[in-house]
Amino acid sequence: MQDPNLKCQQLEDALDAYYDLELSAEEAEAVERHLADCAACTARLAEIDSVVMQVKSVPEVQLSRDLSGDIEAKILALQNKAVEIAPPNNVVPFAPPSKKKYYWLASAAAVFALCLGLTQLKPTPDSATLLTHSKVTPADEQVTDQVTDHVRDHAYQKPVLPDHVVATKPVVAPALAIKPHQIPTTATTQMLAASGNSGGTKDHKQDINQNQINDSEELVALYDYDNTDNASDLGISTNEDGLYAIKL
Amino acid sequence: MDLSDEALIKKYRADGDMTVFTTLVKRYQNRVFVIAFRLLNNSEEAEEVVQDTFVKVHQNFDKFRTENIFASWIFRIAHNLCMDILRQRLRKKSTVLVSFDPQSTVAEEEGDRIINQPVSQLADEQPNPSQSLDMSEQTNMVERSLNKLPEAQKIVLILHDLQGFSYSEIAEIVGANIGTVRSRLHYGRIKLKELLAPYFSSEVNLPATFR
Repeated sequence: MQDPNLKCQQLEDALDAYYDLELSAEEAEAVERHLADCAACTARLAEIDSVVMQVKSVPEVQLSRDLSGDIEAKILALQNKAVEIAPPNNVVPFAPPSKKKYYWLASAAAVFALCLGLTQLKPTPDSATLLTHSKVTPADEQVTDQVTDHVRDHAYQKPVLPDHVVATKPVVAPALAIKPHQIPTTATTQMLAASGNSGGTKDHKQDINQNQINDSEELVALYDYDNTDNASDLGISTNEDGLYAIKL
Repeated sequence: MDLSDEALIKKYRADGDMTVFTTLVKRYQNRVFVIAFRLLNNSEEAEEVVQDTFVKVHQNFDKFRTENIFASWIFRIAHNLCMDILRQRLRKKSTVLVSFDPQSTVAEEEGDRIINQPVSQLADEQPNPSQSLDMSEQTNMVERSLNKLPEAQKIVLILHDLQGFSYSEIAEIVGANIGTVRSRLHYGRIKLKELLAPYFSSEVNLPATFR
């Protein structure tokens, strides 16, 4: 407001600021000079005062209670929640590899998968490993050791060619003498009897004795009594209470 | 503990003593409640705003710069929370057409929602200005008129005339510049005067000086 002689239109919103003591000293002085000679603006100022007084006349409202306790409880609850879900200090956030690394990793993964596929053509791992995956109690370790020794004696060994023989084709080793379903019956029977899983034990023993299992994974699954699918295949079902019912 | 806001903030940042933070809560909770209540007209929601405001203050305590005014920062958070609630209310509000039909009052429905409600009489919503209002009715009328203002003008009027914040503080709270605050206050007062004019006499008490 540089012009000392303000006009009413210029003063329109400045009157509110003047009333609210928000003008600078110079600006206030200019407004007062105008008001001294302008009845309309003086009346307008009076209206502003009236409205403000009406607004201030509304009843006071107050909090009915102290909320600081509730607020503190909320803050503490949030802090505890944050601590619960925080990762341990030794966990390093995973940083995805760069694209170059990604391509290299993908290639390595493909090679690894190929090698893994090729190893599947080799004789299966020793039966002792399979047995340890089952629910065998520590009391059966002696049985496990017997099987381990038996398998080790017949483990796969690369054939040694005589000196005068030159290999032109890859040498295919003879198949492992012992296959999973050829585990000595005696050891298996002892193990199952001592396992403590009485439900369906007899049925399991019969199936094994019948040599119906060819795959090592099926053997592992067989000993996993939580796998209800296999149990139902063998004519065993369980209800929610864990009771066994044998299908006749 | 009669320390200034700055001293309390410094002390809380130094040792994290919850009683220091609680002192700040007790200092401002009522003012936050008043603003929230005036904006929302609901004491339960206003209490929720008070709690949520101080939880947010605590969560963002490290972000507060000491050169700013702590009170303005608290009320800024409260204001934003109130605006969120008001926006939610607007979204939930369903609109119903009201049409004048002296012959029928059967509502038109779409599914389970009434979309047109005819009325056979139009009531005059404006009370008779010649009726004199007692004090409680006057204050009720002022509150109702205040609630009829556009939200932006209402907030500025409440913060300035009821809570005593300066223009610059209001600008910080509502996230606008001082010129906008000034303009909203100016037009809000004009609008309120128009709403109140039929019920109040034109007698005014002119103060001898304004400064």
